[in-house]
Amino acid sequence: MDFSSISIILLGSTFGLILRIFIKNNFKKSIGFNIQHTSIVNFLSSFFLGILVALNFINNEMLMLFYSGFLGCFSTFSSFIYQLFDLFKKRKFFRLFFHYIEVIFFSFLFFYLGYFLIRFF
Amino acid sequence: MKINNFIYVLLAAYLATFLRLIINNNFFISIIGSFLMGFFISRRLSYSTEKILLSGFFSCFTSFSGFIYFLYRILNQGDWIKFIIFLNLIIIVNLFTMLFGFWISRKIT
Repeated sequence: MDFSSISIILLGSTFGLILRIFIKNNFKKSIGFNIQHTSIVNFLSSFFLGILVALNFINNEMLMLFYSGFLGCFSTFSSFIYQLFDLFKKRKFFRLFFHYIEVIFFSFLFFYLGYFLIRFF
Repeated sequence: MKINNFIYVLLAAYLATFLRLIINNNFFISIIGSFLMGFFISRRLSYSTEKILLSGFFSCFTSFSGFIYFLYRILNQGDWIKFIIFLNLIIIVNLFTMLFGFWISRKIT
């Protein structure tokens, strides 16, 4: 790993962190059914990932650095597990099951939205 | 948020990013992240420490997009049963790892 790739990763992770904290501070209310700020961040990151997969990011070094820097810092798996854990501790098992299905379903929906957006245009 | 506090969050995020790149295995990363997060949640933390650890370190250490990409590669092979098994297995294992970390932290103190 040389100096320029490290600096790209650092820049990407800085932007991802700032964007995530911005979303976390500004979208506090839940819209419709139970979508919170962690889920918004994860849906957006899966949308970007769909775009990257359609651009074939494994063979492109620049996009690979963007994936590991920006998207890795922007999306958060541990907060998703923490939401499930919080519902588990409050013994709301139906809400837990519903939230679980909802997050996975919408993530793949947004993923394929980004994927086909690049594929067809 | 104060600027001084924000710099600490950024440094924790950089450390987490490089640890993720060094380990380079999504499953182990999510397991370690869930365990440590469960371990630290049960302690009573101050506001700035909580920001640094939860919002900076663990969020950057584990990545949801890596998880989705792993599932996409399985789905691309056309194996629906394997996809559903892996999806449920990863989330349930992580949830119980976090519970385990929470329990251990309660036992120690």
